[in-house]
Amino acid sequence: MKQVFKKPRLIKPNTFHYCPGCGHSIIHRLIAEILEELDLAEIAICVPPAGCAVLAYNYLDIDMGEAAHGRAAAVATGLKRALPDKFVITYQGDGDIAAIGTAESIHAANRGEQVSTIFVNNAVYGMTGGQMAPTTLLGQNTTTTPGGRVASIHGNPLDLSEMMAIAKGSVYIERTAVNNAKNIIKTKKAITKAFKVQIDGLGFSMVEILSPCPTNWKMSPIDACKWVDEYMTKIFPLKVIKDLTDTGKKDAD
Amino acid sequence: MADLTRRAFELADYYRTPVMILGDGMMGQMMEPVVFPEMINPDTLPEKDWALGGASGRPSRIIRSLLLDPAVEEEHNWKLARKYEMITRKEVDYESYLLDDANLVMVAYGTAARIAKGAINMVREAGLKVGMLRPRTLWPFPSKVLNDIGRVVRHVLVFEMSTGQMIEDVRLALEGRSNVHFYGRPGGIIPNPEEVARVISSHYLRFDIAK
Ligand SMILES: Cc1ncc(C[n+]2csc(CCOP(=O)(O)OP(=O)(O)O)c2C)c(N)n1
Ligand code: SF4
Repeated sequence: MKQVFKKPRLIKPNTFHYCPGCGHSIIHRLIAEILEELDLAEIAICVPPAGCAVLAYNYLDIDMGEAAHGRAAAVATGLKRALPDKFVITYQGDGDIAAIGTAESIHAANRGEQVSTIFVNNAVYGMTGGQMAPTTLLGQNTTTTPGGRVASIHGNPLDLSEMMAIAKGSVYIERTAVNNAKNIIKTKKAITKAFKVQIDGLGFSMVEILSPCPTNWKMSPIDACKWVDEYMTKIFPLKVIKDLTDTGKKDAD
Repeated sequence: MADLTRRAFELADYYRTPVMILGDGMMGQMMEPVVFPEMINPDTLPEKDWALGGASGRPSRIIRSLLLDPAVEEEHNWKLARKYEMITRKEVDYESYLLDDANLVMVAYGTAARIAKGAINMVREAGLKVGMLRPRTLWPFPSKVLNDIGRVVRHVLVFEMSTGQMIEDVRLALEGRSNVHFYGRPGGIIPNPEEVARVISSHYLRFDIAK
């Protein structure tokens, strides 16, 4: 019998604490598979965020160093500059990268830091119970926008990836999703490409991944996957936002 | 500042703990020759068996502050408490100036301590027996030395370029043994040694310290 699917070697034998239907566990698996495929496990260092995925170190069997909320890009900068031969990734939620950590994230991209960022956009603060994030959609109910987000009061959803793309040192930025098999395969391709940008020393790379949070969206996992398609992708379209890999050049050159 | 900054990095590395340097605003506004201390040999630093660097030929490592198991968390907090206790025992740092025969001891840090020294030299010429304790570390605070001073000296004058950030630490350390006086300037005009010498003299008169 041919084995077509197995637990990646770099996923520890622990039970995921993520809610059923959560995108984090899928994204963890993709990262583990890609690190193995690109033979990066022994040089990889991952900086997990404050957020539901802070416990990523219970699952990914590589060196992991927690950062304070939002500070992943700064910690990753230090790691990569001190250990330029290692492979450094950050794993950050939308509350982490697009709110408290906006400044250092933009500047890390602008400096063209040789790190790769996985940005998990679930349109809420997941871990703390579903408060509004900068990425929350207009009209979306959260615990802090009980009547739905209103632009004149709460501002508009923030296009963090587009902001990061303006920064001259970013080389490759793509937005994908993990709400169906096709999108998961595309996400795997995007993360692989982002990792190769770092291997080739081209500059900063990032994949934004739209990821269901059924618990805080108060939906079934299936409805949450549909909601990604029907609402989230309208505001955060799935596309390559910036790709300078062919030119082999950063904007800054 | 150059010496203590170097020392701060060494301590941070040795204890694996954050070290805070409280810089003095005056430092940024003055010029003086500086002799940099010798570089230490990095090979003499403790081995870092916790550092990240890729799990090659060893199990993967995790650096974290979040410990969700209450028992593990408490154990970790006890471990930190033991470390802080050790730092408190070993790392107190201070300068003592003319303490031996003093009947008034000033406590001052940073630029205020430099001014105090000038003032002490002036009043010593007039026969007033003033000394100074200059804490170099604010934590751990030189409480024990100060407490010992309190056994023999009745008057302590805290002088700060603030309205009193250290006075409570001094009182706590003295445990009521000496009278604690305070002279503070809130930032703005920098007092000169002559002014502080006048403050010292007036304390001598008012509290009859020379007797
Ligand atoms: C400095 C700081 N402020 C606040 C918190 C509390 N906190 C923990 S997780 C979190 C939100 C994380 O949301 P997000 O980045 O979207 O990740 P998710 O949990 O949704 O995956 C907050 C505010 C913290 N840990 N540190
Ligand atoms: S709260 Fe949301 S983001 Fe967090 S584990 Fe549950 S589904 Fe995932």
